[in-house]
Amino acid sequence: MKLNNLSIRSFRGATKPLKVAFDPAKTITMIFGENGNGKTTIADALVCLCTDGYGSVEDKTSVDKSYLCSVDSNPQDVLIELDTDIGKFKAELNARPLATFTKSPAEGMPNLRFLRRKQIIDLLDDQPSKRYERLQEYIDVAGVMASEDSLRKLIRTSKSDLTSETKSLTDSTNTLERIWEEEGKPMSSWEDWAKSQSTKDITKESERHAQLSDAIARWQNVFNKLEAIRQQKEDLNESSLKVEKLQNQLSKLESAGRAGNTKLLAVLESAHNYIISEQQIEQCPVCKNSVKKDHLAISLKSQIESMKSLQKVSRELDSAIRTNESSKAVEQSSIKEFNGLLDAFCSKISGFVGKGSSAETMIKDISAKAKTDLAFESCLSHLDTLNDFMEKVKEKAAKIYGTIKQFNAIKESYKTVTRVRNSAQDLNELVQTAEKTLKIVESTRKKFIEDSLNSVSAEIEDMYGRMHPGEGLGDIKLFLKETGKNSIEITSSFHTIKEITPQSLYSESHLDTLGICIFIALAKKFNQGNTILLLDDVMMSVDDRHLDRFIKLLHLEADHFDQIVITTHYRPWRDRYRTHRAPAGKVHFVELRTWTKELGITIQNGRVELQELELALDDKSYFDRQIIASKSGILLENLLEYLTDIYEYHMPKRKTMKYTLGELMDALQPKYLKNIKVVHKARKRDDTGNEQEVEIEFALQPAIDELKKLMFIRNQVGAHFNLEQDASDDDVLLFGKTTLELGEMLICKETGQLPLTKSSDHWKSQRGTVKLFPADKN
Amino acid sequence: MKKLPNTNPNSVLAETIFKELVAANLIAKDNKEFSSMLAEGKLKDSDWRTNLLDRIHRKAKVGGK
Repeated sequence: MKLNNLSIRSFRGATKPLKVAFDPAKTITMIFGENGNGKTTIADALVCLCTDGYGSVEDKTSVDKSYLCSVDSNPQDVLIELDTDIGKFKAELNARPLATFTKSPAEGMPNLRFLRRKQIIDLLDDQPSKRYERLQEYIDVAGVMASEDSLRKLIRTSKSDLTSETKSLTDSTNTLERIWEEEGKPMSSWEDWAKSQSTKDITKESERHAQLSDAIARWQNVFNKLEAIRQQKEDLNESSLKVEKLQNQLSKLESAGRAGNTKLLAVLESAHNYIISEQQIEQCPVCKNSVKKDHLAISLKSQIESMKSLQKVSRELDSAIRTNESSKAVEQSSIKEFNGLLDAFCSKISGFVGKGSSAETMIKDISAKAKTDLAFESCLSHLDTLNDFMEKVKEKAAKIYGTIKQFNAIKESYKTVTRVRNSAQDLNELVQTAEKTLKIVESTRKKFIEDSLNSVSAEIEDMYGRMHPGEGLGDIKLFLKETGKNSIEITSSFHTIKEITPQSLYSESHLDTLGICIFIALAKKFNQGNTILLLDDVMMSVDDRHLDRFIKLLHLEADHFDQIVITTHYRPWRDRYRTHRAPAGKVHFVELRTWTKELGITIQNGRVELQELELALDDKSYFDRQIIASKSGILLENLLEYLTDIYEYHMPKRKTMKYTLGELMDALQPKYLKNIKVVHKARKRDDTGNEQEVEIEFALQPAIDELKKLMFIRNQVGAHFNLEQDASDDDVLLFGKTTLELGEMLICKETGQLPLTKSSDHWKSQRGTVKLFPADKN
Repeated sequence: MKKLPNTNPNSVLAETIFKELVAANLIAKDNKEFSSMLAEGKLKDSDWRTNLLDRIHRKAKVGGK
């Protein structure tokens, strides 16, 4: 997979839309920028798009994730889009839930492995268990572990089922043994007996029990109705007495002449009210006879009360008569119902009485009167006998029920015993097999991780050995801690001290490089294809030797990944490429300019020195003497320093080891120069059209001699204010072109690097396409 | 340099476990889906139960139980 473009909108530092165009021909992209210019925004965008993480935001616990969007932007403005040769990948920030992305496609994002300096420190400093968590994504066997957990669950539930089944088996066995003993231990064993019992046919018993139960229920109905009629009869009797009593009362009141009507009662009440309301009454208002007011009032009152009593008794009598009649009707209806119930009972019970027994005579007698008016009385007369008889019937039914119940208990228990014996055996076998399986799964997984870690350890050891040859460091081992579940230990050696934790004795920069080696080794080992390696500002200050080794290591390992994206603020690293001391040929340089809120992150493509001079010479729009002179001078100084360095030419003794162009040029004496030649390997087609590898030889001396004459131009035109410049435009152009020619002679076109590898008789570039003879000054 | 082969740890481990379990006669060798389900974490307790009981019953049949 090759990256084409990364577009970022309203994310973190990208206050204005940003597009990073990758060079698909280059495996490594170096994003260089000073602090605060947006390197981490670009790195975080890749992390947020390709993984479930948030990048550097996760390093700081107090960071508010609502600020994933840039200043003055809203979550819905945020867009991260990655265009690759296999498709487009997009992430949009959701307003709710906070800090979540909607990704398209939802699955199958590029496989990004990212490393930040904080992770290096944490990886080495963390507890072994935490370290396991950090490395888990590389030793990613989460799928297998999830299936393994399911197997554990099966063992747990099966054991629980087995316990429950065993209890059930014990309970059933105990029940059968107890019944067997109660029955006097018939047959040879409880089991044989239980087996024979459970096959017994109890249909007859069941039918008999059902019939008896039916007869008992019918008797209960008869008995209940009988009791009800008895109560009704009592009620009726009471009601009749009440009617009689009220009739007597009424007769008495009527004979006392208290009969009257309501109109008269109203007149009397009005008269009474009139009389008591008057102050004085001397004579009756009706007959004009003389009266005494008080006597008249008392007489009227007595008459009114008598008339009211009569009225009340009369109403009560009416009500009592109605109640009495209703009770008679209810009694009649109950008796009719009772007759039916009694008849039904008699027809049922007759089958259960012994022939010729007194019970048979009684039932026949009752049965004969069952449909007549005498049924109730007949039944009542036999009630005690009937009750005794029915008690015996109930006892009989209960006994049959006991037999049925015991049979069912035996049958169920025996069924449970046979079923559970089989299932418990299956469960027991299942638990044993599952435990054996789990043991294999667990041990295979642990061995797999251990083997993986051993293999990674070997890789780390190899890489770290290349970074720090002969420094007494190494023996790096990653292994599962025996005592801790899912814990990873890291040990190393320091000269004669073996198996120590690296952070005990290693310097900070050595720990940095160790962390990077671990990360690259893991990413390489567990590369699942389509892998982008992102190194976000991982390199702090290291010396030149280690920087060169690190760059070499990275370039060798780059072939294992689809793309490596590096962000760095470390200028010496950038300058190794710029000055052709590192293989810039496969690196695409992106440089970040100063960030502002108004402009956001601004980028430009970086260049190497040879390219800068070439572009200055090619600029047809304006011939810039100063730029050409200046850039030629810098490249020339770089190339001369390289030559004096590899050939160890004599230079003036100086503390700073910094030399002028003149001093460097003087060191290249003609006696040395005449022996130096450069050989380029190239492919050319011969006359037959076949491509052949040819060697093209160049002498260094002519170019150096020419430059010796022209190098004054660097100072005169390229470095100082000077109103009296002798150099013509042609001189400046020649100085530039000759320097470029020398550069193209010495720098490998393919890798962009000077020949820095020493062989027996020459120096060669990384791929051996440029060779510089001889190997030593002579 | 040649690219490394695609090595999904879950798949590699699942395949190794499968072979071990077949060798121990705990899983049928013709159980085609076992490895991928194991690797993808899709093997639930009920699936383990079915697979293991199947082996137990097959063994019982062969053993004439």
